[in-house]
Amino acid sequence: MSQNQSAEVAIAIPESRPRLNPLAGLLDIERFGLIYVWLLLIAGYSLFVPSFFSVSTFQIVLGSQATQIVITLAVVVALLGGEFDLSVANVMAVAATAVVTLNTDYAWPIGWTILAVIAAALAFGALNAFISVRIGVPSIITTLGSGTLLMGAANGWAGSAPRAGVDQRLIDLVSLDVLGAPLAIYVTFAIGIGIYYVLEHTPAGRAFVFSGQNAEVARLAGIRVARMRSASLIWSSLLSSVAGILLVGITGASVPAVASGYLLPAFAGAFLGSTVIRPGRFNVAGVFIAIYFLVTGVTGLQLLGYTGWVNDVFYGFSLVLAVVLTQLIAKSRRSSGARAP
Amino acid sequence: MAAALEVRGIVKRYGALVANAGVDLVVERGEIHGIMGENGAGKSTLMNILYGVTQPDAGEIRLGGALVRLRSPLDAIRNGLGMVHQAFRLFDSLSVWENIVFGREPVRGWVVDGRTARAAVAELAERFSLSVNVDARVGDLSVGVRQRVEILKALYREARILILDEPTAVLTPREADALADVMRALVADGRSILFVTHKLREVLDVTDRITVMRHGAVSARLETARTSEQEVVRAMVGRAVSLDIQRPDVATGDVVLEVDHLSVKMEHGHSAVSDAGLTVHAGEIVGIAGVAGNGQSELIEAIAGLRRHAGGTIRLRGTEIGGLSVGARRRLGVAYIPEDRATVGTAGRASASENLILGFQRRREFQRWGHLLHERVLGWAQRLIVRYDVRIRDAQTPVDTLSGGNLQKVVVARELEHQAALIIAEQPTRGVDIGAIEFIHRKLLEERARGRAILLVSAELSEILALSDRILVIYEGRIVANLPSREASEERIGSLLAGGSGDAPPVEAGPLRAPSPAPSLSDAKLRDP
Repeated sequence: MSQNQSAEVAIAIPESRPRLNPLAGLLDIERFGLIYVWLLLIAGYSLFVPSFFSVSTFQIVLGSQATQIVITLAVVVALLGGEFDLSVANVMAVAATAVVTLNTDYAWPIGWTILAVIAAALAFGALNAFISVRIGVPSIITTLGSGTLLMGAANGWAGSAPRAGVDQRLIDLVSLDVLGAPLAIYVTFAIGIGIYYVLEHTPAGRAFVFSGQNAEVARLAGIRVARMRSASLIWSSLLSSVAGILLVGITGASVPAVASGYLLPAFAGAFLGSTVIRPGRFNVAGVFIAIYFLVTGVTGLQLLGYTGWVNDVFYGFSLVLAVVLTQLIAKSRRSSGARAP
Repeated sequence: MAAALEVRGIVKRYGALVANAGVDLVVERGEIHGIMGENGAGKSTLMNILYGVTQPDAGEIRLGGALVRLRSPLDAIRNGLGMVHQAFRLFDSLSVWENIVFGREPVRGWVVDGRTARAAVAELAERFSLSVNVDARVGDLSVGVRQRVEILKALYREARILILDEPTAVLTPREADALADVMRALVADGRSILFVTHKLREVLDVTDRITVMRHGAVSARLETARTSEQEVVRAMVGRAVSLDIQRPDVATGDVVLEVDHLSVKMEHGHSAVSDAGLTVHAGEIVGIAGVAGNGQSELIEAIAGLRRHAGGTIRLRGTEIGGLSVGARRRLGVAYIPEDRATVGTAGRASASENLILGFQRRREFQRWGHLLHERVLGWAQRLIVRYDVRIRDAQTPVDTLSGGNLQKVVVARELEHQAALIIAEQPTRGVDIGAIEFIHRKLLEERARGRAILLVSAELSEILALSDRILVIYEGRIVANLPSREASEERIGSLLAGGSGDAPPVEAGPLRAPSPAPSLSDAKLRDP
């Protein structure tokens, strides 16, 4: 192995295991297990659900998840920074409401509306950061409270009923068909790749990730940990508002009541995602795999005729399963650490 | 020329406790400056202030003559200060070079430039003869190598003044010697070192000057060449201390602990302890000597009930206890002073009284109809605090405010109060100041005189030799020797510890083992903290 190559490996895979040949690598159940389960799920549904294996199902599954993936990325960014952000779904819903309301009732041009909503989300994230990092309230409590407050205030301002009538150009843009999939999904992938790149390959991203892993070590290495923690909450709010804007573009309306439906899959996706690609760590690629796995599962069940309650059962089960797996991975890591030469 | 570091009138209070009461310190360029003092003397507070971790209430710090304010470790790093902590602060999952450059990665454009980083680290390691494999995962490294990584991390941040906080506490003697060479190379390069330690021999061996602290103030400034062990100890403790222990003869009684053919396997199947047998009689101290990682922790944990054993028997006064829970064993008469007082021995945020009552809550005297009687608990805790000389504000103060020695006294007080037939003392004086060592040794000998059976594990050979009636040597999970203490000498045990026969000086020349013992011993220390 040349020096250069080993450096690359070390960056990409800090666990820095010896590189296997590609075929053996694909058989690494620990890293790719969820992908195989996903493929099995697809194969199973295709056999037993006649309508499942079709281009339209594929498009629905691929295209419908833009907002869910962005919201999950928001959760992951917060988790990587060492924080819990429970306000993501509410921020998303309120951002959607604000886009519609400002654009229709207040007749703001759509461009300014979007900028204003993003700015407001940044301010909200900064408020969460101030309370959690400066004052020292655990972020899980801070965001539970602030998210509920935000939702309530938005309902008081714009009402809790679904609202439509947003600028058609937003809808057209977000749903623009590019090679059979809406533009939204490409935006989602671009956001994912951007986050991955920053976290893995820039000094700031690495400082961010490792501050989240062990704040004390990072602080003593000269990292401004408070700044990193704040950034994680601000970024998660920002991403949540982007999800809200995409949501309006996709559905053409704001539906405040949908917020609650996004939170649990987001955490399920984040934790389930941490069991693949890079087991034991929240990671961007894992989010995409986990969300598509989850939505495949739910879509198949719906095609089988189960609706409504089955979502909760499936997502709840997946979240518990994911955290159990995470725990088992951590355990096996620890014992293999003790064995090391 | 201005001193490398000049500290004037540093004051730091924690509530009523004055950790630093006007400390002055001058460190010259190119010197190794020893900082000595008992636990609780204020050394750690001072070092944390110098590294920007805590802020002083008063006083000033000058670096090369210029006044600085150090509000964070980042400030300290920028001003050329580096610190190697006693418990290493590294990311186990990252490689050596990633840890070293962390937070200061060289970039090419926006991206971390791994190749440049590795080269820089390798060059730095070469320059100071700190041999490390820059691509190794830190979690796989031995303690000594991790320490080198910490030193390199400070050097990579261009530290001109290095603070080494008890750096030898975790090292084997050979690793400690290697560290001394590194320190000399660093000062030859014009850097300065603040060397914080408890160990007299080391401080006299490697330092140029010594500042001794006591009760938060400087009690002596000494030139190493012109001082003596006695003078340093007197400055530390405020009186002459002798650790030469008078071990009166005590008639040994019945067998209390009897372990036969005990084996302990780790999670992944390899044996930590194989076929170990030992007995401890009433009125006897049996010492287990061994280099860390040779199975003594696992052996003790199996006896205490913290770890399942794979085979063999453990009998306490004739009763098999191998299958019992920790609680059941304790009720039958096992007291345990664990190695790690801070995480296993005590609950940090809980008060002294809450810690002292642990395991006693069910006693009749402390409850009425299932309701704890706080007055009685407090009174009882207060009596123990006095009897064991724990220096704490009051019984309701959380124990995480205590220094190591005082925290250890809390654990010792609680465990000895159990009046258990068997006392397991695991590293009872590690990282504890001289005054507390003396105290704990005296308490253990008192328990011995009361007819208790004591099983002592210690990494300090001198402690084993001073206290034990019999000495067992454990090597690679096997008990390889069982000697009455009068037949044991430091040389003989030292040889056994390294896997030798006990007849000849061991180590390098040993033809019986292919790898020399030192690497395998340090490798064995691979336990994640």
